[in-house]
Amino acid sequence: MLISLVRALILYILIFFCMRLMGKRQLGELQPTELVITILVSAIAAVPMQDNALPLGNSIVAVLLLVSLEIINSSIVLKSSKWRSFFEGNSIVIIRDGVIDQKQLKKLRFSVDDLLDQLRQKDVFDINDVQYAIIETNGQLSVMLKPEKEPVTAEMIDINNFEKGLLCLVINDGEILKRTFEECNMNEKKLNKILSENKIKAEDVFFMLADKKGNVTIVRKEAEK
Amino acid sequence: MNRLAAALILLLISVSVSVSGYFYIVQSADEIINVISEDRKLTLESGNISPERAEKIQKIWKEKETFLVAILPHEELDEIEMNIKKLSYYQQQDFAEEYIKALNDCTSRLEHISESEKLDFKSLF
Repeated sequence: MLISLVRALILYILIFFCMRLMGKRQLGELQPTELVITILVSAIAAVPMQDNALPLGNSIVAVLLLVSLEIINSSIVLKSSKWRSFFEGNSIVIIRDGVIDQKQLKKLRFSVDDLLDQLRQKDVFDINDVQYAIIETNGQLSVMLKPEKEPVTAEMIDINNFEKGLLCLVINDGEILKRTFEECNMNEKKLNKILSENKIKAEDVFFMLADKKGNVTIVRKEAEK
Repeated sequence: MNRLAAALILLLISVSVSVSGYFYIVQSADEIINVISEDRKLTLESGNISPERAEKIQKIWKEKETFLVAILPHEELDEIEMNIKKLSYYQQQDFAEEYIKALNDCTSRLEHISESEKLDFKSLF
């Protein structure tokens, strides 16, 4: 049992390290190769975790090899468009001015049901509203509506839209997050001033948000019962 | 760029560990087989089991096993380990025939390991 515990711990650290190295991408945004590599890595790590008779070294080498090849591949993909189109394919337009490109649909092995399903997920219920629909390399559908079907924006109706700026978390559960100071023009002096104006100590703050314009939101911690 | 550098280092590590692991397995197997063959030959010639030679085999096995467990299936190594442990009992009780049999089992198992690690069609598929 103790061996299983230590082996699982080693593999956890290895997988954690590899996933951090591979970078942050949501599951739905993964390229097919990335998805396969992620599944492969977890499968390779799971086998010696279940069976203590298998050597750990072989799995570690295999995981490191797959992860390093994936990172090298993604680095080359960034630099070379030929490499990118070979490994990741290209985006394909399947609807133009409300007309489905049936040839491309067949090529992608996409049924009309699949297409309508994906359009509905994008809040588009009528193909005629679509100017362009594109299947991206990761399989997701991007939709550009016809101009007359686009939702109204502030720019279209000439409304002065004041920039809000990015809200940053300055205090989280009583802890001051100095790394976010730059993003919202904050400094310790300013923060202390705001806190004293609000008659509150940093450790009593549940969270505090601030933007570049000096707007702040402070939520106090609830008193413990 | 840092990520790419880390990936290249990992690739280098995995390739070098695999290549050196292969050579370590083959060389360790050869080394142990040589010691076992010498012991078998002398035991057959003299009819007596030498405690020093049995101890030498155990010592070299212990030394090599430490790294072999990380790269070879434990079941294969367990069989060799059991046969090597038996050697000292056979030597104490002077069971020459069983001693030779255990040596032969060790040799064949080590030869099999060495053979199966070779990069050829049979091992790959």
